[in-house]
Amino acid sequence: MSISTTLPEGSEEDERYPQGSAPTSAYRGGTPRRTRTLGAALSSVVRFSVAGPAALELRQRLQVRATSSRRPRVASKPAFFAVAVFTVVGFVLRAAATRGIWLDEATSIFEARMRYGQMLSYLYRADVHPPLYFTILWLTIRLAHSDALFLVRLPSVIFGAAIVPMAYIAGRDLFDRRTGVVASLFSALSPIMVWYSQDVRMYSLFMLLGLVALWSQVMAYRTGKSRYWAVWALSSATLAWTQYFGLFEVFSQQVAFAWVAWRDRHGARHGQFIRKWLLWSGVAAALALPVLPFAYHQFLVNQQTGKGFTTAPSQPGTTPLGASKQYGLYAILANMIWAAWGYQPSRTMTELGALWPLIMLVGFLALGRKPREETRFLGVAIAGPILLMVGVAYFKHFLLDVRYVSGTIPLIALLGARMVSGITRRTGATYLASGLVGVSLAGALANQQLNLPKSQHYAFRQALARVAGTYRPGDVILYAPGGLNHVIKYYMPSARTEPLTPKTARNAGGRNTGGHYTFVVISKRLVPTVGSYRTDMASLIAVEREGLVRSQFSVPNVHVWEVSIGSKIVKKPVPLTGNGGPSTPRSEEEEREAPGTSAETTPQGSSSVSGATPGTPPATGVAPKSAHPPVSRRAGLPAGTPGSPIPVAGPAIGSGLASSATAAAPDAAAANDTSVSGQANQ
Amino acid sequence: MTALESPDLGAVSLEDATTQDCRLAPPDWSVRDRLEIRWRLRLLIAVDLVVSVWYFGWLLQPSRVGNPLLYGLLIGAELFNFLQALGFWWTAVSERHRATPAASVTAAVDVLIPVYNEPVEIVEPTVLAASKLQGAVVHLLDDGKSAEMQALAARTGVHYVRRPTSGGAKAGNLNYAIGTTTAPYIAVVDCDHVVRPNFLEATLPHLADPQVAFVQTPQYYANAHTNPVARSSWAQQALFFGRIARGKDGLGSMFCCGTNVVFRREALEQVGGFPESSLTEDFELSLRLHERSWRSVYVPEVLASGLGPEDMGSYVSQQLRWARGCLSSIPVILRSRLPFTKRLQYLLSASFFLSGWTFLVYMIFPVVRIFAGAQPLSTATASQFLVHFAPYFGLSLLTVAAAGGGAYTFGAYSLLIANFWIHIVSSIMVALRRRGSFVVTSKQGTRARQPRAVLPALMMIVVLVSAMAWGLAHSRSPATVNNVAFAGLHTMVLLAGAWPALEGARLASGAETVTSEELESAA
Repeated sequence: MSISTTLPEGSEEDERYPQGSAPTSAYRGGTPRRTRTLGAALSSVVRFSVAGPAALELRQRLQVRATSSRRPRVASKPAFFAVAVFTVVGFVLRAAATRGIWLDEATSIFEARMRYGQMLSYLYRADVHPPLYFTILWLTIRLAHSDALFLVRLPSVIFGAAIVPMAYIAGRDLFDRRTGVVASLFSALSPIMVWYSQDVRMYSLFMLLGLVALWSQVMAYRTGKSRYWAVWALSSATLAWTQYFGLFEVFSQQVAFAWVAWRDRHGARHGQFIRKWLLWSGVAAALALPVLPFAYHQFLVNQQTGKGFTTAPSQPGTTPLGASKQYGLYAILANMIWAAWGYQPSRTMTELGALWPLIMLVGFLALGRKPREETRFLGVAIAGPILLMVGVAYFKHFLLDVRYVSGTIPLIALLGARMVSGITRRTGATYLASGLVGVSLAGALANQQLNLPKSQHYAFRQALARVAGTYRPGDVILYAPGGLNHVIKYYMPSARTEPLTPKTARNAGGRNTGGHYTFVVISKRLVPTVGSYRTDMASLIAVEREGLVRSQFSVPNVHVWEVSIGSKIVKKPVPLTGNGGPSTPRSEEEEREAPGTSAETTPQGSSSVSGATPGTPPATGVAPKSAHPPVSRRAGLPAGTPGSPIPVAGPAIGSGLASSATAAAPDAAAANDTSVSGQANQ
Repeated sequence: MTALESPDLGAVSLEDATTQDCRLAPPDWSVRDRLEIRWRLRLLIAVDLVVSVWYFGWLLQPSRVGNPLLYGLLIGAELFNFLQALGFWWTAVSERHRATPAASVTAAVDVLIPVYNEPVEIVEPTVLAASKLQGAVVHLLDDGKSAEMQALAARTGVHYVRRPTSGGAKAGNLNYAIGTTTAPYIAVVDCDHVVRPNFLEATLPHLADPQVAFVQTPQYYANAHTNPVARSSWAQQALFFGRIARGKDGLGSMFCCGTNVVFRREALEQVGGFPESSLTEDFELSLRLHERSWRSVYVPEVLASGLGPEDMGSYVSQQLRWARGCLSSIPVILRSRLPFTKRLQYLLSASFFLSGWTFLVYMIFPVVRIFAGAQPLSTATASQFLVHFAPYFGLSLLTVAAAGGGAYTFGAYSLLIANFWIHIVSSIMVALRRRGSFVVTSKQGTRARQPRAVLPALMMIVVLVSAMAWGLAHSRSPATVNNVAFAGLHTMVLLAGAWPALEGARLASGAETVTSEELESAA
């Protein structure tokens, strides 16, 4: 009954495996275990009823008919052309980043700027990730003699773009050429792949390696050839050197191998498989071994310093579905949506989350479909890491994050391609289904890239562009959380920065630094809601109550206070004025980064902010303290852009800070999503 | 013409071979009953029970009541399906694995092949195959009073039986033949079912037990590979003739399915033959036999290959007959003197044909929510609902898939859903005591589109799509989008089920021949 899910003998896989090894394992021995097909059934008709030369002739005739009903092939040349186009499209989409760097990326750049030994030492002492990606980044910076944003993102872009042809190869080798083409299309347009291919982190490499490991695993099992085993061992070890969560992938693959080893235990070539499996697993282990003490030390250090697994790392934030900080089916659902359609604005996420009944359709469609061996390997490689992650996240909720299982994302795209191309034997229906999925991915990608979702996007670049417009030598920038310093130093290398502490907060308005302002830059979502943060906030509130805050503004996930040094500017609360000010809850549209706020040139200095809009009228109600006109605070923002600085009453800020420090309940997350700007407007 | 010797069917010609239909092919279905599969299924069912308690424990809390009427409908539908599921699980874990009896039994068997205006080319292979059975005397029971059929009987050397009256449909035809024959065993084979040479060898030994009234074998659709309606229909059958029939056999409740069955004459005569007043004479006959403490046996081996309905019209008429027959048997079952287990099994089988009501209930919920704002549940977030419902739904689906050994497909499910109205119409007809006529399922499909056969499904699709459009036009709230998604889900399932009726041209017959044009174009 699996006529629609299997290919008959002589299908295109067989061309590449003339020994007949394509559809089944090289290690099983005996007759390849295939599901009966129409071709086989029709052949059986003849075997059943006729014999001799005439039967042979008849059998051949019937075989012709049977094979004519199989899924049509996708010719090699058009497939190659299509994949080439998809790869170029994928590269361009990945290279065209629309957002600035965030905390983790700044940390990567900060580390890669060090001398190599120093970087390794720093990673060993202060980071939680293995060193491979940082080595690549370090090399990139050294070779290019620059840490410009495009260059530091280039390795991720390249790894991400490489997934596109690799998806084709995997789809072609595991299933058929059509699946390969569809997989490469999905990979090129996958919003989440594009997102992490623009991230100065290891996740796009993690994705690529996950795909290579799966492909080589199946090919090694199927053909038994040493070159595939070698690629598998290397990719497994490299996974460990790239992301420790890659070990989930490696473990899942080992489970799959163990399962087939047990199942095929009576096969003729079972022993050969076991020997190769053990040998190459040993090679992989040997290659990965050096990273283990490295990892162990990182773990110990992080535990001792109160980080590690006791506090969450920098998180992308919550969504209306409650991902990241909540644990439950809806959080898992949110991660599933991210994996499929990328990071979307709150409203889109809510709507997508409400579409969950359609998942039931997938369950119905799967009824009666006997998965091929390759699909089972794929399924284990996807489900294994995800289940492990969900299990671990039960104890540490912050680990329920799609990026930690991003190695499975290209595999999900491959599985999706398989489902789309295997759901019907009709060419037109396959193209239609692929096109529909492709359109949905393209739409989601456009929405993600153009309407940068507040749940994921941290507009440090915009915030610092505005700070840079006002910043003068002697000014100080206080920041929280701690890692924000790397972001500030990337965009404003010469700026004087200090962490926000009760002491620095108290001194914010009374410094003797020769400057005029103290800027306090905070990304509320990224700082712990316990411990010193409350103290810091209390200090800041005290400063603000003293009336030292000259102005403040919000951009997505970042809030900036500008504190005048030496005198109090605002003594009493002033009613909010202005349209679309920083404290006003904004629509998704307003959250977009305005064109012209780009700060690609800012790493060279605070005075080089591009896109300054001279002539913008000053904000009303602000009494300029210094020679710098208020207009300078709008630097980087074109006229009419929401988010212009306005004076805000002190107590209002205090209440906003206090309430926004509380954790968001999942059902209230949508409201909380705008809490930084919204609650300060009370 | 080159004569070739077939090991099974004797001499057939090459020309015959090219034109012979799929019924002559070896069956592409086997029962996978390995021990680990059985244990896997039992484990699944155990977990299923736990998550069912988890779901219903949450659902039945008084605080969940939203709109009382809708809530009542929801609970009714959910409980009905849960009881059906419980029955299915109970049947599945009770399956019996019969070893093929070693002793070969040779006995005189009257093979009865009732026909009623079916094409000769459909009947001929059936008669030929039956006539090769050792010890069999074949009787062609022609209710269509066809000269062609008479000629076929003469040509193939089988007895031609034409009864003087025509009452009682198939049951009447069989009863008449039973009265004119004398062999101690009677095999009934539908005219489209080609028996395999070992049909009697595999069944007769079970009749050595004097308490066994009949031995039933699967009703395999050989045209499942060539026709989408037959394929989906067979997928439904495969679940029944797989795990369910084996389970019923284990519980001593396997009923006769009308074809591919061997009866003990004594048992048949004791209950007065086939009941002629029922649309499902086989079902009620089994009930009467079990009432008189006769036993039944199910041999899970394909011993005959037949043709399933090849178009939606044939499927609908078949299902209408089954549904009305089984539903009308419910009072008979309730009044019967059957042991509790058997009565429950019969009730489970008969009441399955009420499932269409539950499908209707599920489909109207999103429509009511979108248009009227009323919903069955209250004080429940989507997250809460998902946490309780998702495991229940997922595991139930997984259990069906595992129990069916992969035979039960989306096509089978969607075909069932798209014909939900059959259960509704049948139960109304039965409730109104409207008698139906016995409509013989067509053995050859039409290539024409048959939208009327799926008109209720199409109307439901229109309602659902209208609700979706209206809902999206008026609100984008999560609740609306969620109900639009539910409506979309129902729409897609209905559409998938109704689709074969809308693209009639692609329906191929199981007896389709390989033409030279096709071969050339394929080459």
